Amino acid sequence: MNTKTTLTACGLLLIGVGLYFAPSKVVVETRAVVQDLVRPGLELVRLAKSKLGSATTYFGMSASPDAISQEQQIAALREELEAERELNRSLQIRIAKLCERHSDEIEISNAISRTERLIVPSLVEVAVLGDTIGEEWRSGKLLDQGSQNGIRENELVISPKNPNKSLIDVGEDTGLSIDDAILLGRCVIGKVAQVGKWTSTFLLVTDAKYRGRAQLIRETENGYVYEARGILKGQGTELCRLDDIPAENSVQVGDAVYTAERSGILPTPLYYGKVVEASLGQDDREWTIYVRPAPLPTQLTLVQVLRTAINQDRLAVKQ
Amino acid sequence: MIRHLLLILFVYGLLTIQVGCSRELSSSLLPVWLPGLALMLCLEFSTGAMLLAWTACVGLLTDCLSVDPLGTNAIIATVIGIMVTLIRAEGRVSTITSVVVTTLLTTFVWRFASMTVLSLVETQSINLEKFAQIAIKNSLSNAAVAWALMLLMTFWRLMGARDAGPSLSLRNRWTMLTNQ
Repeated sequence: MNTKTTLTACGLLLIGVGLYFAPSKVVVETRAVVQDLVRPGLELVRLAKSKLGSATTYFGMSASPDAISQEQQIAALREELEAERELNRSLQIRIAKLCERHSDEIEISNAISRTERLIVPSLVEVAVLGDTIGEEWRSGKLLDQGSQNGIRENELVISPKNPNKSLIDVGEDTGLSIDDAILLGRCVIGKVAQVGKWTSTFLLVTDAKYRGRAQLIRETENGYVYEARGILKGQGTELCRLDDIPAENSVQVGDAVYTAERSGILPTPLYYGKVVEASLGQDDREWTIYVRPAPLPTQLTLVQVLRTAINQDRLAVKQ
Repeated sequence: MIRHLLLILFVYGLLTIQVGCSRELSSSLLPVWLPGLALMLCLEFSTGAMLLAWTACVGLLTDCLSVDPLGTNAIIATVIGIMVTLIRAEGRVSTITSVVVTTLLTTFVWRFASMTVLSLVETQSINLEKFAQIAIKNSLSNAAVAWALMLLMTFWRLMGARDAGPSLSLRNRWTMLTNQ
């Protein structure tokens, strides 16, 4: 190699190392630039895929590229299934050991007569309105009687200032309230932002306005260790930030982040995501932590809203 | 200049297709791992410092389009570029065999190294056997695609040579001069 090539090689390697240790802001911005550059190409690929799909359907052919990749997907899924089964077996053994250890406590707890709770949590499955229907709803096309007949959605929900906020098809009519958690399975993916009469808007955890109390939980050989609590903040990017974690606490990449709100009503924490980056400068009083939220499907169609409601049975007894 | 523009186009196309066809760039669902082919194109169509710059660019793009920590693939791809440059220091002849072997080896080394390094960085368990299986699958399929592409190019060249006008031998030149 000549001198120029050697210098280029050294320079490029240094740049690579520099990028590895670059602050997360630089990483996020670099990724965003590249992903923006790739977007037009991706649109073309999607278009080609849809054209190919429609052409094969038109000619009555089976989707051969899909069929080829399906076999590989099946193989990969089989491997995943095996791994999950193994994990399941180890968990069953662990549960059996724990049950054995706490059998006395279970007997005592069974003997306690329980009262029905006054406030009970309930999960409501709601549909996310797609862009087209959402736009029509906001513009009043779907509810065209207008305010003359008194049928009009809440201004905050249909406000043109919030065109990007996703809509769900429930509102005050189902007892929804602001800040109710939006769940996908056991993961918190956002919260209700504005509640209208029949529809509501919600914020995803990645939204720049999202704030929620969160707690770090680490899985160790001896079980789960509950670590410090902080505020999870959306940043408008794929990563969220976990603030207010004091420097004296221990934080590791891979730690899980759960909701910090716990009470007798909902004792189980709900999952936010996992720590992907944690740094602490020499003079810093708090950790700088970045959290990757639970992955979302490409199209959000159905989500669950966690809300608390009065136990009607208890009220009926009172009356 | 045209060569570099074509290279940009090909690398962009390959990486876009990979991202468009699988949810993640490092996904093992697709047998053909297109960043490997992009690297092969860079190794074949550039030399010296430009070769290294191209390999680093492909690595960096791979980093940016995947969820892997930034810089890991850029370093691995640059190291591969350096190794190829050192091996080719004595001279370079691009034959079908050399291109296929380069694709096979570079894809295997890149894929295997990236999976191992990422497992080490993220303190996950290292399953070398599984990594090797994925890397072999990707490198073999990439080599097959490279072989097919080279065959196509050779066929194209042969067709071009057959359709070309009379060769400029001394006799032909004389004939052309005398005809004028």
